[in-house]
Formats: sequence, structure tokens, C-alpha cells
Amino acid sequence: MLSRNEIMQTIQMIDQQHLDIRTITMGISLLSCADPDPEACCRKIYDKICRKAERLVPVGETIEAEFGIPIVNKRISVTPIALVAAGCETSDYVPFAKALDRAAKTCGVNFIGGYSALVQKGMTEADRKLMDAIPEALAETEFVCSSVNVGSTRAGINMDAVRQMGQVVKKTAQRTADRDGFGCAKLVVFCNAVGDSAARILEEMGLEVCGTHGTTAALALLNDAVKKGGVMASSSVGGLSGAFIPVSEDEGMIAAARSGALTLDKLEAMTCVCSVGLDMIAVPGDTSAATISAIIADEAAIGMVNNKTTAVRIIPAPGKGVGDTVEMGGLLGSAPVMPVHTGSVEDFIARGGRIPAPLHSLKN
Amino acid sequence: MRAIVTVVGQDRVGIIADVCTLLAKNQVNVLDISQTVMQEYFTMIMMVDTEKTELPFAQLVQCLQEEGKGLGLTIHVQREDIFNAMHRI
Repeated sequence: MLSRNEIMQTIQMIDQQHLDIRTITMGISLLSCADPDPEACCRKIYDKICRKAERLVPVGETIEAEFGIPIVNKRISVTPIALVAAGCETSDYVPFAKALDRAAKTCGVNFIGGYSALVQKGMTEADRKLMDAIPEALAETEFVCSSVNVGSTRAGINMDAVRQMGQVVKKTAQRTADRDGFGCAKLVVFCNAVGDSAARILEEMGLEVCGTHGTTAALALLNDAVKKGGVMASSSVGGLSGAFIPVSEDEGMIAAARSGALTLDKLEAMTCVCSVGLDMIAVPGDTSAATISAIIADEAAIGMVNNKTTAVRIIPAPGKGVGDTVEMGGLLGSAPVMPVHTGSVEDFIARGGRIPAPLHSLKN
Repeated sequence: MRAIVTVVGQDRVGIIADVCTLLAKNQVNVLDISQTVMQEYFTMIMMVDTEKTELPFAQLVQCLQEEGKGLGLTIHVQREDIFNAMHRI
């Protein structure tokens, strides 16, 4: 029997603390859509998604009404397009993004993920074509999200891919310059890919401002509580349970970054103790592709060595500098442009190649 | 299906009677009641069975909420599953 206390606690969470379900995601395999003819392939992709996800949104809404708990986003996740499109006789992968976008629109979902490539072990021709198409694909679609996995603890870090992704991020920002580089908000670079204001909680724990010394330790403590809480409350734990710290969505983080208390370096240190990584970071528009590659490489190295998922979602905001703010709108919030180090990494990034997997990857 | 009904409001004569009448009107069976008055606030938690009600659950929730408002009460109705999911492994 539930105790009075447990019941009141739950009511309070729903009623006053606005407990919600962040997202429900439907996974759809598109492997059966492969076809040498790109047009046929796109048609199959659209048809299959619409067929499988036809009832996703209405069923989600019924669940919301039934339980009285809002579900903020409904998403679809599909097989990495670089695999699905590999057999197509075409070098232009933008139409696949458009097919995904149309399907997302028809189904009424908020996002569709899977315009992706897994290149930690090396790039195929299809992976390369997909990465080349990302800037245009993200500029011309609304709902499509893209990710590229550049490293893993088992495989090491593919530095050729890291170098290319620096350029892809830059180009994506330029293609969506009229919207503050919004395209970059839909692009994540992963290592070990899987899937309230955190800053204010950290400050509640006794830090004067998030970003000061002790922030990393406090975050480790918070993340531990969130993770163990997640394990206790759920019979099947899925995805990433942990403290997320996308800078643009957290007013405490925004304030700390704006005042200069929270720097990119401290954020990077903080990602050593929690999942996810550098999320929704705005940097000056004139940041070089090599510097962006280097930021990706640093974060991937943390993920690879520590056997955890890390990601980079960075926005080199066209025409903006330190002190400016990037407005993403809606759930994505706004991000202050943070300074980056100016020492050049051109030569290091130009080396390409591979950072080998760490010794502890040899487990088998 | 079992649900939890919580009622909060200014204490006065006949609150339990009003809420039970409301539930009975909708064919909702009361299984258990626990209530206290904290300072001047009346708070009641009920475990109910909604098997016999004709309304779909979402509509029942809305109906009780609106009628509760008319009586000066805040009434929440939630499926028992939510509480079990939150507090039981």
C-alpha cells in the first residue's frame, strides 16, 4: 500500500514542480528501404516511416491525457542513413534528409533522428557523402537531426573524421547564418554514441557561482544522485540518465557563462564526470574549423579514455563575438557566445589519421 | 482500474459527503479513505475503483476537477500506476 507521504510527494511533483516526460522515441529500421535507385529509396523511406509511425502522436496524446503527465516531445529515430543509402547510385544525399523531413511532418513528430554516420572505425564512401551533405540537409529541412560518431573506446578516435566535422560544423553555421547558425543545434558529434537548472542546484550545494572551483566535484555528486535515482525508479533503465547540462537551456548556466565565471575549459572538465558533453555551446563566428575540430577531439578523447558517451553540439555563430547572444528559440533557448583559445591547432588537426584505442579497450 | 483521488480545500461541513456524492454519481467505488485537517486545510486521499464508470478516464479526471472547483475544492484523480512507478521497484 502506498503511504500518504508518497502520494502527496507525487502529486506535488506533477502539480507544482511540473514533472513531465521529456520525450518518447519510436525506433524504425530502414534497412528494408535500400534500393539502387535513389528516388525509389526515398519513396520507400517516406512510406515506411509514415506507415509505422502513423499512430505515434495520437497514441502519445492519449497517454498524456490518461495519465495527466505531459510528454514534451515525440520523436522518431531511424537506422543511420549512411547505411541505408550506401547501395544507392547517387552522390547527393540531401534528398534523403528531405524524405525524412516530409515523413516527420506527415506524422506530426517534433524531431526525426538518424541522418547519421558511424565512422569511428573509418569512413566508407557513403559516410563521406553523408557528411558532405549535412550542411545543406540541415539548412533545408526543419525536423531532421544529424549525428556523427567519430570515436569509441574500442576503436579509438578517427581524426580524419574529426577534421572533416570541424568544417561541416562551420559550413552548417554559414548555411543557416540568417538564423544565428541554427543548423548546428541539430548536429551532434559523438564519441561512444548510445542516446530545473542544473547550475542553480550546484549553487544550492554551496558554490557561489557555477563554474568556480569545486563545480566538477559537486556535479559528480549530483549526477550520482540522478543516476541512482533513475535506477531505483525504473524497472528498465534506458538511454542516458544523468544530469544534462545544455548551456542554452539552463538559465543558471547562461548567467554563469555571461559573467565569465563559467568557461569552456571548466565545462570540458565537468563533462568528465557526467554524460553528454559540450552541449549547445555558442562560440565566435570567426572560430576556425580546426579549432572546432580540436574541441571535438578533446571531448572525444575524454569519452574514449573514460569509457563513456560524450558529445559536442557547438554553434560558431556567424557574425557574432564574445558578449553576444545566440537565440535558438523554443525549447532550445539562448546561448551566450563564449571565448575560445586563440592558439592555433591547424597543424595538429591537419595530421588526421587515428588516435588509437586505450589499453583498457583490450577486454576480449 | 484503480486510481488515487486527492482532495484539498478549506475545511467545512459536508466535504466528504460532497465528494462521495460526486464519485457515486459517476459510478466510482471508494475502496479506502485517509483524511486529516492540517491547520484549516482539509486534505483527503482516496483509493477508488473506476471499473464501472462509463466515462473514459481522461474525461472523468476533467469532470471531477471541474465539479470540484464548483465546490471550492482542488480534486486530482490519477491512475494508481503512476504512484507505483514512482515509488515501487
